[in-house]
Parts: sequence; structure tokens; C-alpha cells
Amino acid sequence: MARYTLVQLKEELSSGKINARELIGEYIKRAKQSNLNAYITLNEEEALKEAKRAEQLIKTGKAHPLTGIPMGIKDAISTRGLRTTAGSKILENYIPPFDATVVEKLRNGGAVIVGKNNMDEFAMGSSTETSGYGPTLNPYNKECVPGGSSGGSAAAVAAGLCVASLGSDTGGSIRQPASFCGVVGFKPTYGRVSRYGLIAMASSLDQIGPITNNVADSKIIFKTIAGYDKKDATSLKSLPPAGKAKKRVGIIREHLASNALAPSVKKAVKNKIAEIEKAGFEIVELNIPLVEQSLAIYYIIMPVEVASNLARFDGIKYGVSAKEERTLKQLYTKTRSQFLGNEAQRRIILGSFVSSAGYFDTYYKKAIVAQNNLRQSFKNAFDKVDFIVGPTTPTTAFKLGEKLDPMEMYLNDIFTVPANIAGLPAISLPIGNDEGGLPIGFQVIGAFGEDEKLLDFAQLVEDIQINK
Amino acid sequence: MKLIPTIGLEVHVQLNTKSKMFCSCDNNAQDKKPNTTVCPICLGMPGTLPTPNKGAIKYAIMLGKYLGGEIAQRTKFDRKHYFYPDLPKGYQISQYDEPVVKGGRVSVGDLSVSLERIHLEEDAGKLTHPKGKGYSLVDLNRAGTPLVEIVTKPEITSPAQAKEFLQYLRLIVRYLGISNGDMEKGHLRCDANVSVRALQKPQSSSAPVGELGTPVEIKNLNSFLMVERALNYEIKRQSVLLQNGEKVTKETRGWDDDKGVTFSQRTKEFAPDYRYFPEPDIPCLYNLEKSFKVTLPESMEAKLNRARKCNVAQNDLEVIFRDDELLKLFDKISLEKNNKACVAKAMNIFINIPAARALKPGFVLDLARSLISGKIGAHNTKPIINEGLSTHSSFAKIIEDGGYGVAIEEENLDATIRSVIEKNAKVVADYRAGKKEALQYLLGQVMRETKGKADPRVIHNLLQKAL
Repeated sequence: MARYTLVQLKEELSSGKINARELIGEYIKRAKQSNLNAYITLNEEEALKEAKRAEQLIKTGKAHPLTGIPMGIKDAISTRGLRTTAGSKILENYIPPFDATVVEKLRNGGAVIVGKNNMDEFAMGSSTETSGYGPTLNPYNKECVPGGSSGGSAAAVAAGLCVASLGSDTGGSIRQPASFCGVVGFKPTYGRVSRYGLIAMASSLDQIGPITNNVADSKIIFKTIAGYDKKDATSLKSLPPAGKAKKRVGIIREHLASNALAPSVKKAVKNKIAEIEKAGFEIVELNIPLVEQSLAIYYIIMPVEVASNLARFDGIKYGVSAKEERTLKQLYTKTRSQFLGNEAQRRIILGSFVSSAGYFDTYYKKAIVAQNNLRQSFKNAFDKVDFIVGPTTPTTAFKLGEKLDPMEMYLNDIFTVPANIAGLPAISLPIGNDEGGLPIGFQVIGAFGEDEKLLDFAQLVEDIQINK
Repeated sequence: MKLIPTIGLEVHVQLNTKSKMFCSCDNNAQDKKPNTTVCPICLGMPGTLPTPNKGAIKYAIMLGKYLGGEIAQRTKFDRKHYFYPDLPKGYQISQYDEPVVKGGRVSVGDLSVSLERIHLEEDAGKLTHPKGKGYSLVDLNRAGTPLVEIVTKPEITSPAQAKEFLQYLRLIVRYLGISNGDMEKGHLRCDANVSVRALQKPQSSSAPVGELGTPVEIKNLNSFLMVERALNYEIKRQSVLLQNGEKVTKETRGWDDDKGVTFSQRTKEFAPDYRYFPEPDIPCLYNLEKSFKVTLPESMEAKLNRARKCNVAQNDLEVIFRDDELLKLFDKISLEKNNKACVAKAMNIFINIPAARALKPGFVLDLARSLISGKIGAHNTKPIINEGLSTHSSFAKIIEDGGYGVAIEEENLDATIRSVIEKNAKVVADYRAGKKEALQYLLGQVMRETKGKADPRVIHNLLQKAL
């Protein structure tokens, strides 16, 4: 199936080679015919109306940068008038009365929303298998998962069911599925993109970002959605001055030496690093022992915020409710037990325990101290290097149902979680395939706030790939 | 055996900011239909985020500064978790260990109570339970209204003091203009911690000596009277327990206003764990004093001195300093030096004839001046005010047109009084026979003869003398 890049489509649309109405119609048709289950809700009627308007705008020369571009949106991101479930049964009937800031910006830019992409329930998972609406399949091998939690977004972009999609990344949820589906996934610096309207998983770690076919497309989407938003008190008003280019790239010893790293992934990553060196960068081995504690830190901070953020799903105001119950306590218990999935319940219990009296100091406060130390370690590292590179995931896509043990599933995020804990921008780009033809992802982490510099470098890495 | 109570208060004060604590919804839900002053943010819809109201932070700083508290270098918000239908997010955004204000003191007369802290938080919605229906109704208009919580140290030693503290605190928040302070409307709500102890070793009693006794918390006291009654009841209850050698249980109790008793709500082992943790959606705030420039109004004490210099009567002072509207009027008229002589009289008019508060202060000042000089009889005060209110004319014009003119002097009344006495021999006889009401008739006759230009009090005196 033809996979257009955003840049290509823009050209074809504005030159009149492609007609916006036909284009959107084609993408809707593809999405409907696809058996990947990459969408939870399609926006057919509205999208076709938008396409008509886009056609008019292009004809009269009034097109915006994204006019007529078919996009997917992860179902954790609120869309006015369009069902938004966050992959959970508890929000099966929830239609937001407002647009997330990023959606507003995309709409203002002219983008047409094809539909809402499937995801792990409340973004909790690395395979899209915890979705209340069935798993998404990997376009490269339908027996394999697309990764998660933004699995629907990554699969849809990879399969040409949209040109670009927005995902959200709390511990790797943009980068890991991008890696599994052979597309580009970019998690910006925490605070660069407004979270207003993103159904929160772990508020201090969540960040919205693009999933696209190449880095150039990510740049366009990022430029559209980034910026201070007065509705998000954690969004950044100003950025630190960019560091001087050092022409040095760091690698994390602990990551490349990890036992969990599959040989095919290790080989591809090492080759890529050699190419970067050839392109004129000095490779510096960094010593950041604390990265090995990243998952431990993550699995304390994240569940505490999850338990808190998911408290509002109580069956009282919106969403699904066990309202036939007689008492308030029964209503709460039944609603939450019945309509929240196992993984969500597991993390609520974990988070409630860790934040309860007596354990808060033991666990949460220590995790916060470790988080600050890790941030400092990265800051020191970026005094020496411009970027840090390595594998996005330990392995390529695994089979559906293969990882039943939650702990094994959590290990998938081992390389991606540090960037969330430190709030840093990070991108995953495809660098080839393993012996089974499954894509391998390469991660580049940038210094805080230096998203543009990171994207430029990622494009350079991508070009090495193409020129080879 | 002498047992003495120790009381600490937690007072919630609703701030009268324009918008709510974390969204731009109208903060005034008075008389509004249920669930109309709401938005996705205060309804806790998925994906919404709170943005702190700068005005509310300013108010908290203002109160803290006024009460001599220490304004935080760094403050943060925290989430307090519990499930209830009036709490849309499943947690309340409050402040746990880094409040906006630490310390401070409230001093009134002989009472001086030091404060633990003042912090900001959001109010919850309201539930109503229609009688006989199988459901409850949720109104989230109030959800997200900014509150300051003022926590005192356990330094109050009687229910009367607690009431005095609250009344004075209400006066201050009204004086600063940060709350309407109407307890009946729930603008001021109070929880009280009370314990009882002995000063000397009591016989056959379990009352602790010296150190504080086991505290009991009484929740949701919504009027001054309720605070006083509930505390009186609770102190007695605890004292009886201790005198009988029994123990006081650490618990939370409610107040049944109809029965006039406190009742156990939950004991310590069932105390909820609110699982406080830092609100990740709102970054810490730094350098509050610098970032929020707050100027304090003149202190109430300074104002009191000014009022004394204007010879405002003590009785009037007490009324004025319990009424923010009167305070504002006092400010308007007392800062002008030329008014000094008639401020006291004008304030007296404002107090006794509340309708006069709607007039221009200058009107009332002129009226006061004329009353003092005797140009106008006191009995004409009300008619002039009424005319001022209905015609919106100037004071001078009303005096001229209404014939309120110069009052008839005492010596000029003698002739009229004599003539009235002569004409009404029978009534005079009745009066002399002990029928006191008869004097009123005579007074009316004199008033008619003088066309209302004489002061009835003066006539009254003269009539008495003449008879």
C-alpha cells in the first residue's frame, strides 16, 4: 500500500495532482478496509466534510500548512464531538465537549482527522493488548504486536492509514511502537507541547508528540503543535539557551551492554553508531549508572500519578456507570472493577499502596530524589555531548500474547523511560530490519529544550541511512 | 476539680475572587441554577488541567501579611484524595506541607491566638438528598471555589473566645475585601479541635495534668452560635468522662444542631488516608512576595484611632468596625480634614438609618452639619433622607424647596405653646389628671402651628415645663 510522506502530499495537494476530497476518501476507505484494528473510532462524516472545505481552500489559494492532510489522533487526546475512550471501556460513551490544545492547533493548521487511534488502556502497556477495544496488529507481521501504548498510531502511519498521527509518551509510548512499526516517533521535551486535553496517565511524565514516516514530517507536526499554552501550567514559557555544538555523541555503556538487548538490534545499532562516527562525530562512552534504576523510579512515580488521575472515573459524571447499584460504595466498586482493565487496576493498586501513609516517604520521596539525581546526571552528560544514542527497545516486535508477565512487559521500556524521567526530548527512527523482517529502532536523546537541534541531527542520521 | 479546655480552630473562608481557583468560571454561584457555573475543568473532565488563580493567591498573601505571618519563599499545591460525588476529580487540590503562609497571629482585645498556617485550596460541590426519593443530587457550581484555610494553634481556652476569634476573623476578611464572610451562606466554615485537661492532680479522675488532653475534632460548624454551643457541649461531655475516670477517645464528631449534641462520626483507626502527593499539574511557586505585589490597606487599629479623633461614640465604633460597608463609608468621609467635626454625626446617621448609605456621602455630611448647627430639627432627618433618595436632588435644594429651613428657636416657641394650652383646656386637664398620652396631642398641635419647623423633642420639654 502506498505510503506518502506529509511533505510529498503537501506538494501533490498544492500542485493539484491530488484532490483533497479524493485523498481523504481514499484514506477513510483504507482505514475501513484495514484489519489491523488501528482505529477505535473513525471520523468519516466529519472528515469528508473537512476534505470538501480543504479542496475549496486549496483552490482559492487560502490553504494552511496542513490543509487536507489526513491525520490520526491517539484516542487519549480529546477531540470535540468525537468519541474519546483512551482505550478504556469506562469511557466507551464519552464525547468530549472540547478539543485538546494540540487538536485545536492541528485543525487550525488545516489537518483532517481521519479517526482515533487504538492504544493500551489509559496508555498503560507496551503492546496495545490492554486496549478495551482489542489489540492492534503489526503491519509487518500480523502475529506481532505494534508496540504501545500508541500502537494504533504507529501501525496506522506504517500501513498508510493516515499520513501522520499524534501519540503520547509517558515511558516510551511513542518511541517503542514507532520502533516496532518502522516509523519515526518523537517525544518532545516535557513542557514543549501542551498537555491540555490529553487524558492523563502520569502527568509529570506524559508528553504528546508526532508519529510520522520521516523526520521532516515530524518537524512539521512538532512546529504546529508546540508552544506555551496558558491552559497548561507545566508548559514552558521560555527555553534555556541552546548549548554549543560539540560534535560529540554519547552512548550509554549500561544500555549497550544490557543482557536484554537482542543480537540483531545490537548489531544494527552498533553499525549506525559507526556511521555516525564516520560522518564526523566523536563517540563518547558515558557512565550513567543511575539509568539502571530508571524503571524502579518509573514504577513508583508513574503508578502514584495513575492512581490519582484515574480517581475521576467513578461512574458519577461521565463515562460508563454501574448506576443500578444501591449504595455509593457499591457503585464506585462495581464501576471501577468492571470497566477498568487488569493493567489499570494493577497500577491503581500499586500507586495507592506506594502513596499511602507510611510508605510515601519510603518509596515516593526516595524515587523523587533519584529522579533529581538522574536529571543531574543527564545534565552533566550534555555538558560533554550533543546527543545520546542507542537502541529504542531491547528487541523487535514480539508476538501477541507472548508477554503475559507484567514485569517482562515493563522491561520493554528500559531504554525509553530515562528520557521521560529526565524530561528530555527523544526520537526513535528506523534503521533496518531483523532477520524476520521486523523493523529496528534507533533512539536519539537530546538536551532539555533542544528539540529542534535533536530533530536536525535525527534527519542527518536518517540521511546516512538513505544514502547508504 | 477544675478542668480547662483547649481549643484549636480550622476555619475555611471562601474567597470572593471573580473566577474560581483553577478555571475561569464565575465564582459567584449565589442564586444560580445547579451546574451552570461550571466548565470541563471544574467538572474534572478527562484531560483538563488546573491553572492557579493569581487573585486568590494574592488574597491569601494579603491575609497572611495582615496577620503577621511569614509568606512562603516557595509554595506548592498537593492532591488530597477521597471519593465522594461532590468531588469531581476524586481529589481536592489543597496544600499539604508548603502552605502560602506560615505563622501569624489574631489579636482582639485580651485574646491573642497564634496561627499555625494559612493555605489555599478548592471547595467541593454540594449534595442534596430530596426527602423520600431514592437518589441524591449533585450541584458542582461551588466546586473549585477558592478557599483559604486558617489553622490556629491550640490556644483558645473557651467557647466564648472561639466565637470572638471567629467574629474578629470575619471582620478582617471583610475589611480586607477578600471574602463576603457570610456564615449563613457558607462563606465561613469551621472545624474545631477540643480537649480538656486538669491544672492540678485531680482525685479519681483520668484527666491529664499540664499536658494537653486527647483532642476531639468537631466538623462542619456553620454559624458562630453553632461553634459556641457545640464547644460548650463537647467540653462538658469530655469533662464528665474524665471526672468519672473514663477516657476520651480520639475521634471526629459531628454536631446535631436540633438535638444540641455532638455524635461520633469516626474513630482514629478509621481515619482516612488522603494519600497527599505534590500536584504534578501545577509547578511550585517561588518568591511569592516579589511575584505577587500585595499592598495592605490601612490597619484596622489605625482606622480606629482616626475614628476616636473624630469623636465617634464607643457604641457606634463597635457597630462600624463590624460592618465593612460602614467602614468604607467611614473611609470616604473621614479622610477629608474639613469634615472632622461632622463625621461622628454622619456615621451615626448611617448606622441608624441604613437607607442613607445609598446617598452621596456629601449629602449626609451636609445633613450632619446642619443638624449640629441646629439649622434643621432632628425630626426632619428621615424626611430629608427619603426625599434625597427619591428625588436625587442636592441637599441644599431639598432644604429650600421642602421648607425644612431653619428650625424655630426655643424662645420663639413660647407664644405658640401658650396659645395651644389655652385652646385645649380639656386636654390639659386630662393630662394633669394623669392621662400622659394627652401630651402627645398637644405636641401635635404645636407641630401643626409651627408647620413642622420646630424640633419635637424641644416642644416636648417645653410643654412639660409649661404644664
